Amino acid sequence: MTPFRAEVRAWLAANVPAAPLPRVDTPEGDLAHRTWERRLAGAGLAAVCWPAEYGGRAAPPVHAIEFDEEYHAAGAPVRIGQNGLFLLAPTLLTHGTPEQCARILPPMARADEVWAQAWSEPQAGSDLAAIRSRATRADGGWLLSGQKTWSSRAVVADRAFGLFRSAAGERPHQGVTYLMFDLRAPGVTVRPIPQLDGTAGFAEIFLDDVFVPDEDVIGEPGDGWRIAMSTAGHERGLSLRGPGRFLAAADRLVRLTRMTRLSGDEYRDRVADAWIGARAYRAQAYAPTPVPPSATKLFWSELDVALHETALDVLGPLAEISPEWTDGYLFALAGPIYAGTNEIQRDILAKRVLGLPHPTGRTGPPQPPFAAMLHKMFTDRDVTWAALAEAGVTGLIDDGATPADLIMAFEELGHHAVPGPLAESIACVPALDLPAEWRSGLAAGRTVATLAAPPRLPYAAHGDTADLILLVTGEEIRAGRAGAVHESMVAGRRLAEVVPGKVLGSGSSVPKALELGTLACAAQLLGAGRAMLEMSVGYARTRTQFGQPIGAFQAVRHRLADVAVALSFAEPLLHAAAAGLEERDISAAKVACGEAALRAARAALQVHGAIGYTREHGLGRWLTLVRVLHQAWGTPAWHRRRILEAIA
Amino acid sequence: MTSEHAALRDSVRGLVTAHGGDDGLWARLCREIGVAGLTVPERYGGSGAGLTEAMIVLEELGRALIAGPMLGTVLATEALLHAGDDTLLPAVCAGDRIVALAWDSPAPGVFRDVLDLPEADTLLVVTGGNLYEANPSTVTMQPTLDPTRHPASLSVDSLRLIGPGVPVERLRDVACLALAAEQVGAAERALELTVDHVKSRYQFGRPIGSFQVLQHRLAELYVRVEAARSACAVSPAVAKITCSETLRAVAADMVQMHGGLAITWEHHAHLYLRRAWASAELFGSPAHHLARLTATHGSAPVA
Repeated sequence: MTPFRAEVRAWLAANVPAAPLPRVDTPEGDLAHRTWERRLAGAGLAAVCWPAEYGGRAAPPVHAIEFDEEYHAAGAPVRIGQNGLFLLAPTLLTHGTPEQCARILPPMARADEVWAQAWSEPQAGSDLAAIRSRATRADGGWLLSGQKTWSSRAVVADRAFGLFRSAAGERPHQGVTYLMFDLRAPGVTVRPIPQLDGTAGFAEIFLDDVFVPDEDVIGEPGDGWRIAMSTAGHERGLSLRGPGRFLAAADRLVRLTRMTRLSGDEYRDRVADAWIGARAYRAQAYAPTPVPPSATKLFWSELDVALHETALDVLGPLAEISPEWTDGYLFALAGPIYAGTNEIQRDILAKRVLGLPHPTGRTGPPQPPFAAMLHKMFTDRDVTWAALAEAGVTGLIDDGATPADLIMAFEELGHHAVPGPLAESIACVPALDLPAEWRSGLAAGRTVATLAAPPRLPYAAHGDTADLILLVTGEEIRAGRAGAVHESMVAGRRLAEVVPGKVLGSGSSVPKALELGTLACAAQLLGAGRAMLEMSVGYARTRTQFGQPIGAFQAVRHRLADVAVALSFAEPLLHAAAAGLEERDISAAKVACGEAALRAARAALQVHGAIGYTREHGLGRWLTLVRVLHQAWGTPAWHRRRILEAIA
Repeated sequence: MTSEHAALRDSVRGLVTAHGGDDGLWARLCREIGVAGLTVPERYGGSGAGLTEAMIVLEELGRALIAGPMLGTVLATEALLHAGDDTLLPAVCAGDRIVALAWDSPAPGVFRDVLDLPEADTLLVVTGGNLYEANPSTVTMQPTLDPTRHPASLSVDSLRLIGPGVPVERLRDVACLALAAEQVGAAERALELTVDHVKSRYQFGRPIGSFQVLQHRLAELYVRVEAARSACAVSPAVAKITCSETLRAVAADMVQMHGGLAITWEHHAHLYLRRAWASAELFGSPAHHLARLTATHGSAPVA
């Protein structure tokens, strides 16, 4: 161990707060994180590679990586100053003046000034050169006007750095100027955008003739694009994402796999793969020959998703109530979008590194956006239980509906992401041999039921609010009541442990009822997957970038085509399962519908980009629902094992 | 890569290009560049460089799918150094003798994956931690997909002790790293050939490389090849797993992107594919090494 690493490890061991700090997007969290940064700065650890006169210790670059590893291994707080420290600072050290460095870097290191990034605009996401916000010459400086979006940390930040159009150029990359501005200056309005993970991590910034002095221009006016690409390199590479996050997560994953005997050996290869990926990323970080930032970004962002997906799969039904993994998973999902989408990274690699020809030229002026039309389908989403009863959905089993009718209804419920213990109360419990008056209550929608049936259903979904809770073990049915209640990853969904009560009966109705619940869940997954595909296709048709709808790009079209294929091949399995009610077929349908729905969810988020990551958009309801249902009513591993037992 | 490493790479590439796989290549590589002695100290006739330098040579040979005696020589010199030999080493370094080393023994007296047996003038075996010179009693050429490499299984008699102290686990590690270097080279070259192809093949009035979906696939492969090169710095098992899987992926996409051309025997795409599958199984499959890795490493693997 180097003396530097030893110093960092010892300091972190003595100083990292024992309890997590409040969330960074709250006023208490803002204060706590700034206080933490000041302690780091006091120990000379805020930015070890900077020159000493700016608050660093002029350490070699490898020390920044060692620091990052130790920092994550110690579970230290998120860096509130990350946009300044890791993106703006290296840009200033390369392109800024000594005066700018001396004025800006020391307060940045102490978190006296926290920085936000103001690059993207509504019409300029992946196509960053399409920015329209303007910088107009004024006496002694510039006046900024326009709108920025997806601005990380802007909710709590003091200042921002951004790109503005200062002159008309022949090409969109010309006439761009890189400026720094005060977020509290007259004319600035910051509007938080809630994220899919519930935090207010990013915001819109509106600028109305905001004055910026000449001293806050980085480089020459009009030379902003070239300088921005240097910042982008830091954002995509090791500066923002050192190997520490992935090493720490991989080590936690290995420990998790050892601790939990829930999942046996099914995930051994994937756990090993995740660990290998983290080690490869670390090895590359220390390698003498760097790879292009675009390759780095593709690698870490896909690794991060795979790592967390593996953890969720290892946890199985416990995953949704394990925020220490679901938080990281939702954060990882943003990785393939920010810092330039992975599609753009692949294009850059294809053109600049591999030297492939440019696909097509720009085909004309940009089309007006139609993003608003997307939200239409989410407007009528408040489906009440009474409405379900009125529509005859709660009485399907009592009315003698066939399994084919049942899956038709559940596909629709999934398509609209309707919440509640649906498969439990509508498909499974009514099929149990229970007293007639209970069954009529269920059918009429007066009673909402749920159940736990280990190992397939270890918890009772919505057990905190259901009128009737059952515990089914083997062929025995018991009454139950809710014990400890856990908050699910799906907003509004809670899982209850069931405390067993008196025996209500037992018998042959049990296996079939559980199969009907599983079948209904599979249908919900298929419907939700189809809804996400429809949203994505609609969006890809109307969202314009690079002068054409994004759906015109092969990468988007092909990905959505893959989703359509997966859904189309899951659907016949569902229908076959409904026709025969064979255990093996129901398992196959459950696995296939779940995998197709997950594929749809990843594609939908990627096609929508940042807008899909907002809570307002609503895609997150489908995305989290399919993640949860994929593990409910028997994990994929449980169903695969059942298939193997049946066919072997 | 240092300038010395680049110079080594360039000189090996120059000779490989001049000779192809013909019989004179190995002698010139030994005589003019000293490739056989890279891992051998100067007092035994080597240059005292190291495994890193040997891996650069192996990467170049892998690019051209030359299975020549380099990999086997790296293993044999490793064993001879451990056993304290001072007679064979100088001749091996000079390229005057080619030795085949049998070390992977699934059962007592039986060895597999022995390289270079047809070319070799000397057979060495490692058993019980001792190094012997031996005569083969039975030899079976292992069935293989790969027409460029012919590993053998054999049993031996009349052992003559050279020396003790040869750790088989170390030989396995060196074998994995050396083979991984070859695989990285092969993957890199397969990718280059594919990129060249999609730039020059026209369909629908434009080079097929202008289609986004091919561009993205090639960009992914580039990331995988670079990650595989990095994996060689992690551990021998990780190198073997990652490089095997990477070469398989690159070769499979090479075939796909060459279309019908790749289905012909004349085109070399199938040779890369064959090398990919055969080398993945040599010295233990990726699954075998994964099991080894998960058995040895826990929550705090490789410091």
